[in-house]
Amino acid sequence: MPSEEKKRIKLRSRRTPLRLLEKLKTIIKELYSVNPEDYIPQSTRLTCIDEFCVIHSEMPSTQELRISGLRVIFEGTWLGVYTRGLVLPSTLITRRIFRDQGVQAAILVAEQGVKAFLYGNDILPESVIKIYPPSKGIYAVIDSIDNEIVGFTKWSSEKKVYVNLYDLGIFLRLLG
Amino acid sequence: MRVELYEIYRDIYIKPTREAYELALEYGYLPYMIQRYIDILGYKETLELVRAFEKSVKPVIRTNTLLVTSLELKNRLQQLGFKLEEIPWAHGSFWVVEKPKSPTLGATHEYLKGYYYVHRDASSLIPVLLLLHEYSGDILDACAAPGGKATYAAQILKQRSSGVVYANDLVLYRLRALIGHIMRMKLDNIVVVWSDARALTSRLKRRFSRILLDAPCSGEGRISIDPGRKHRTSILDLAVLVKREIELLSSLLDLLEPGGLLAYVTCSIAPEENEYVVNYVIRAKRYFELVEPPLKLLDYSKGIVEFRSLKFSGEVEKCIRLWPHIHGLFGYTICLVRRRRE
Repeated sequence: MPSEEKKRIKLRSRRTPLRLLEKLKTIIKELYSVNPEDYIPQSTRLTCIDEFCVIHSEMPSTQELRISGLRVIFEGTWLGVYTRGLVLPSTLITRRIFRDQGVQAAILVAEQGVKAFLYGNDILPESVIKIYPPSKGIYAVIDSIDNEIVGFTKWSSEKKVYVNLYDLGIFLRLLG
Repeated sequence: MRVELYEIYRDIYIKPTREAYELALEYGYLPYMIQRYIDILGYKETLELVRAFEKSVKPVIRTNTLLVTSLELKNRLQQLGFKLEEIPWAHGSFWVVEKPKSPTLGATHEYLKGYYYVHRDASSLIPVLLLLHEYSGDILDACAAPGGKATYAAQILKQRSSGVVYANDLVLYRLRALIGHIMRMKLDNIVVVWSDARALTSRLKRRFSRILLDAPCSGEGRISIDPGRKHRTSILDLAVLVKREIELLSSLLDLLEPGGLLAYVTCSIAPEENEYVVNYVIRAKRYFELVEPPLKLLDYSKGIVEFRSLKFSGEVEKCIRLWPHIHGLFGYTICLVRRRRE
């Protein structure tokens, strides 16, 4: 079995539990009014490294590797994240949906706001340049400089900020 | 392949001369390393080499051309205060010749959005360009983490609309970083496998046309960024590394399809870890041959055919060497091995 680790890392890789997959499909349908089956393939896997979990597609060629006893820990297209009990679509899948259907349920954010967001911070309303309807509480965050999706937020009427649900900086912060 | 550690140790043992001891003391090296440089290069050129190791190398950014054009990225990074110089032989890659105090290369928005990968040096681009020259199809990167070459290969293959990168490594915390890069760069044609590369041959039923083996090595070519490597590897440690390198190469060659190509790569200038390893394995196995690089990206130095009392097959001259004092890069060695068509 592979190596002794410097620091103990918890790794789990398995077929995505049905309830998580359904949650992902439901949120995609609710936010973007699209058929989630058009974007989420039938075979998917859930890989968790420590507490951070990624839902990704399963490639046909990897079944043979698994049968032969190899540990495949990531493959295919990044579809979603499962973090802090919440399932959200990946920025990659959201990008495809926006390309096909136009931008929806998103906020366009000024440079300073994006900068803070990518370091894990929340977004102040002053940084929001535009809100794309419909407003369903959860928003994709779009960088106003290049229209790239950089993560997801949720409006908190209590804190009066867009709370960071996840951002692209998370890969650097959690995965190194 | 059964490899005896003692046999390797006996083959590679070096007794340094007084001249080597003195120079080693002055620059902080283990004497056997300096003796080896003197044997290969002569005293004057050895001085040039150790002085070149005292200089820093320029880091490199490689544009993720699947997400952004190199011109757009260059403009944006220059606005942040980076000064970039295009690498003439690697389209979309730049030497970073000046950096602002903030942000660092790994903390810009552009980095977090996956627009580029940071390489410590340009040398690691070369094996990917050589191995994938005019090629479409799958590739096995046997010791892939943290993923500079695997993500580069995935990017090139994606642009050619063909091929999957099978990126394997033994060390999980390094694979974690690779997964981070894959998601950050939005690549969807990489399969990450966690295994000892030596176990792949018995486990995998399929074979590959292209294999990249960037073998875990002494890192003797990277002294400029890690001066501890001047004195970290004793001759016995080196023999242990060589034994593992022989086992890795021997094992992975069995995964090569007839006509397929394997790039054996180390960030080491030690002939013990390169020409010795390749010669040892090729001599023991039938059906394999060394081939010249298909591209002349720069004026490479040739592989070493003779070293102290060791005489290798003339074929190892086809390996390419990068020397810090000649090429201004990390010390690096690449040997391309082809499986003959049976």
